[in-house]
Amino acid sequence: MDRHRWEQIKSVFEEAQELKPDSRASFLTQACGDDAALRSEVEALLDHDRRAGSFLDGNAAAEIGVAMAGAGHLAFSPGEVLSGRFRIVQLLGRGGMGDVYEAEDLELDRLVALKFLPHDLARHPLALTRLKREARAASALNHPNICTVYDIGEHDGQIFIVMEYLEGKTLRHYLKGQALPLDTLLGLSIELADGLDAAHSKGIIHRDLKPENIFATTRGHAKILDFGLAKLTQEGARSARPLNGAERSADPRDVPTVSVDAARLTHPGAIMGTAAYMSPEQIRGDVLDVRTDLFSFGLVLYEAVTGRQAFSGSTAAVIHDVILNRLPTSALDLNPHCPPELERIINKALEKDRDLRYQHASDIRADLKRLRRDTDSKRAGAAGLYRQIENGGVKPPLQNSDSQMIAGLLTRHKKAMMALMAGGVVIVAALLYYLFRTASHAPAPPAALEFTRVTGSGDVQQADISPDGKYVAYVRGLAGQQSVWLKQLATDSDVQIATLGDDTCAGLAFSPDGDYVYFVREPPQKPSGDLYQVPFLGGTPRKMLAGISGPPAFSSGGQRIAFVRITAGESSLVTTSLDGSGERVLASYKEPEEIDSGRVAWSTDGKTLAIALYTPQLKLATISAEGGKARPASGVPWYAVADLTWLPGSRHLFVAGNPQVGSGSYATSQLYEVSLEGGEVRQITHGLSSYKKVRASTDGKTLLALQEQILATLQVATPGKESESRTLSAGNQDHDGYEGLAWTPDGKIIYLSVHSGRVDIWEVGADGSNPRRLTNNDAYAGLFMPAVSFRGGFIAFIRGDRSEIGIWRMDMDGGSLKQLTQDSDWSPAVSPDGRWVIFFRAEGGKWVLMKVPSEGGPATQLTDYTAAYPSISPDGKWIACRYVPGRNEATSLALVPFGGGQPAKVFPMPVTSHAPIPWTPDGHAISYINNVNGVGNVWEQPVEGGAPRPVTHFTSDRIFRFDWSRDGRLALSRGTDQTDAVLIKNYQ
Amino acid sequence: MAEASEITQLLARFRLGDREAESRLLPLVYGELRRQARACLARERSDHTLSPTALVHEAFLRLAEGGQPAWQDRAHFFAVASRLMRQILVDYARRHHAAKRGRSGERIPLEEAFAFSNEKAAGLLALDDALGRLAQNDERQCRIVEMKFFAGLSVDEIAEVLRVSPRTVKREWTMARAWLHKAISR
Repeated sequence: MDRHRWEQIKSVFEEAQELKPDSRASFLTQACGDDAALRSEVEALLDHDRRAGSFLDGNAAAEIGVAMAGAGHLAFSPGEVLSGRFRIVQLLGRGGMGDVYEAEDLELDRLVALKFLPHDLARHPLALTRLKREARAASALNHPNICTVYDIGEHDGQIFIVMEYLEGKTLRHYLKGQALPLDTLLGLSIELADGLDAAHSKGIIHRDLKPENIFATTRGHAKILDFGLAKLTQEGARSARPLNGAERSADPRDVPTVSVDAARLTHPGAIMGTAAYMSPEQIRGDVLDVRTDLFSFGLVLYEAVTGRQAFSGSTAAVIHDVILNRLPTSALDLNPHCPPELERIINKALEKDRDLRYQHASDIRADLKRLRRDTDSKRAGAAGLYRQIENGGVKPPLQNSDSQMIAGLLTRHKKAMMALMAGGVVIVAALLYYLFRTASHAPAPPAALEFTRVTGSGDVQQADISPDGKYVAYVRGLAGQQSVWLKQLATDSDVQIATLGDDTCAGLAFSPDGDYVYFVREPPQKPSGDLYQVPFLGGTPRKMLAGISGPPAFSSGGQRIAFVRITAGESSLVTTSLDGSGERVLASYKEPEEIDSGRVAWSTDGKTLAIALYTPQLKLATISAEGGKARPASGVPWYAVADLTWLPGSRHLFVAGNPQVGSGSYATSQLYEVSLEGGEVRQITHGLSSYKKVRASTDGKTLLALQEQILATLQVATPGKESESRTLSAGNQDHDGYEGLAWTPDGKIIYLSVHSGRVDIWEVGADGSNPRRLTNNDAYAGLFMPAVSFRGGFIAFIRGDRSEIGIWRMDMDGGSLKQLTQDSDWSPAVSPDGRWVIFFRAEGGKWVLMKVPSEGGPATQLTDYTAAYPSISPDGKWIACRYVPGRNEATSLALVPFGGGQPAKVFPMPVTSHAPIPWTPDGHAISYINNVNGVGNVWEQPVEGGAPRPVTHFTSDRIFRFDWSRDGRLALSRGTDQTDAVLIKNYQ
Repeated sequence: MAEASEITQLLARFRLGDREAESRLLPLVYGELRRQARACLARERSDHTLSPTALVHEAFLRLAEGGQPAWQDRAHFFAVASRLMRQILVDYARRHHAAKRGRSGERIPLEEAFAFSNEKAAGLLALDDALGRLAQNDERQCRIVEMKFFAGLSVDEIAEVLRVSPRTVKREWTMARAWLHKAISR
């Protein structure tokens, strides 16, 4: 329509429209004249104006807004970046739970899958808490047959799980009415049982195992998806929809279905997809244990063998009835090729009474493995599945198809690797801090890491793997009770080959020929120790060398040994022959430069040594075995290097530590591969666990690492009534209180937690009410040791990132942040009048007490002797502290006048933790943690003298931190902190 | 997200008739509106009606954060935003419509199937189509419909944006609505 014509119509229409309807006809006659088309057009418009009614009266979003809200999402478009980190590649699918996207993790340069959760769930705070907890638990599994959860993310209030990206299809896809070939079935199911076993051994139950949750990768491996999530979805849905009725009565006919059959639709409210795979006890609503998964596993096996669901029915209620009361048709009847033994295995898994069922996934795995061995299969390996996959149109893997399997996650968490040595050692306190997570620029590792835990005592301090990869030597036990053990991996047998008496082991290594185990014995309170040699099968240890700080490293031929020697103000890299002759100092550094004594590594060609060097930034460096200048190995600075080892080929180092690259959430100390050519740092492990040591077998195929896991809960207890302790934590994964806690005068508890993914200061009522985060630690700094004065008013705490290190204060509500000191200070205590903050600092090579005005100002030194962990008496007159009278003397407990000076009283005190030592509320005693054999209790030392006595009588778990309320209750962080040796295979 | 100052600058250039500014503004605002919509959805109860006006206003506040944009910027922002709201909603309808038809047994979330009938999706798509034709005849009427129906702006707000009287807006709206009704009824 041309412009003129439109204007004409418009003008006539507008005029007519403003007239009363009965006068419009005559107006139109006059206005349109003989232009009948014009008149007809205007009349039509007038007619539609009249008939339009409420047309367009609302607004578009209101019209479809319900739909948008109901659908719970607006899809993300390819290219969109979530949380500044995940670039959407494509929508992979829409599950009942939520959409799943393929995305690129821009930080780690790898593909991930993002699974969004339904809003009902995400909005429910409890469900969310549980989700995070469970996801963290699941993420710790680090198993090749479990889809790894890397992280939980949030984007505009939508919660998503960041998972390993897998190529392949779910088992459901392969089970469309047909059985799997036997070898494929056995291969996959053995892997499944293995994954289940790994999870179950950590106490994690799947609860919703079914073909939809089992993935077969294009390489033919099995992966269990959504571990631990079922519980959340169900509970979340239940609490979000209280009127929906009992889930077990949900009837698929009540739920309009769109496609496929009802029983396979997973719907948060109806859990329909689960119905056919539920265990009898699940249907009855009993408390579940791992055996529920074994029943579901049996159902999956049955379906894989027969191509049919064991139990089916038109409604959930019917299915449930069948599961509870009927036996499935014999698998043999449905598939004559089914080995009778397999049917027996299935039937045993499908026992309705769980006591008669398989009790452990490992049992079913063993039976399946035996069956596979005994089955003289004529078929060719997993070809069946491959064929199916190819027929299914999936491209064969181009490269590294399941490369994204890196175990673990990228989460947060952490472990402060405080190098505070036991017993108030005098050397400069290397307060290492929580650190930025690290990232790498290299592509994801090409294959699944395979983790095997080889020790179970939880107290492993040192470990090395024999050159042939068949043995592990390790040191276990707390300081003063340590012993050296040898484990034969093939037989899983252990033998003790040496004990260390009062000494601690500062390093352990196999000789390159594997005949001897060398270890460094460090007497208490000494910065260096002696090197001993013990035959690999035990015998009398022989002292070889003296004056070694940290672990030794052998040249590949074993003729020479390298180590770090630290003397006052100087650190040297030394090599000698084994009899101590031919000592050579390759390099010496004076403060502030220093060689980290943590570990020296010798290249496999024997030409080069690798060290970690404070310059003052901690960096990796290499130095010729002939001596000379150290050369930086990589530009990346590290917060901490716990261990390093040289891989065969001399091109790469393996490092356990925390590099200062990347950004993001908290890190544990993880394993990294550092290229000596480009200096790139590639992260190998992820997850909740810290890795403290790393060694490699000579062929480089097996790595040995020490893996640490902290489980802690915040509790309130009354002495004498320990059994009535109340646990305030939602789970044990948040390190609640592990880095510090304090009562407020009004009876709340301030504590540190990584619940939010970063360490933050939280507050909670003593009854667990109103947990509240007081800090928003977007800088990813480490926060430690909050302290509150008896009058309240403010919280003093340590902030531990490099640029803002020191003591900080803030108001009780988290406001008015202020920095009070700018040094490596530790353990603040606030005076009762609130005017001073007392703390300790490394000064002149030892720890001394200091004070600083709480309003800010210069800090002054209170002691010229070694003293640490101050706490102030309720009357404000005394400081209790740990006290070391002189070099090589044991740590004591001392009372020092508030103004400083010599100790007025000294008491003996065991040192079994690095926590503050609070006064009891009545001011009559000083209390401390005594962790003995893995069980922690609070003890008190009366100020008037006399023997220390126990205050609490716990019989399990260590105590990490505690504090007294004014009315005599204890807030405690209790739990376990376990370190075990793990073998890592398949990392290359 | 784009810097607030960048948005403000683009808005200023857009007001002066800089078409390139508009083309750069669109993705910024588009992203922000989608973000807002999702945030709303995540926050609100699922039976809550999405308020487009709140959405647009909030998006504007966020984008202009820190700056003190003149009313004209705001008005022009609304003009941009309303077009985008149309685009977002129509995209949504189109996607839904396609999904609803379903590709070989593809699963569709039940909630979605419940809430957004095919008719509504089809209706919205037809309206979009008709609006396109209306714009060829009368750009301003199309703009008014976008602002009123898609972005939920009031007549007074639209008048501000277009710098015409509210009466004119009402008149134009009446005709546009009649024309669209006719076009869709056809």
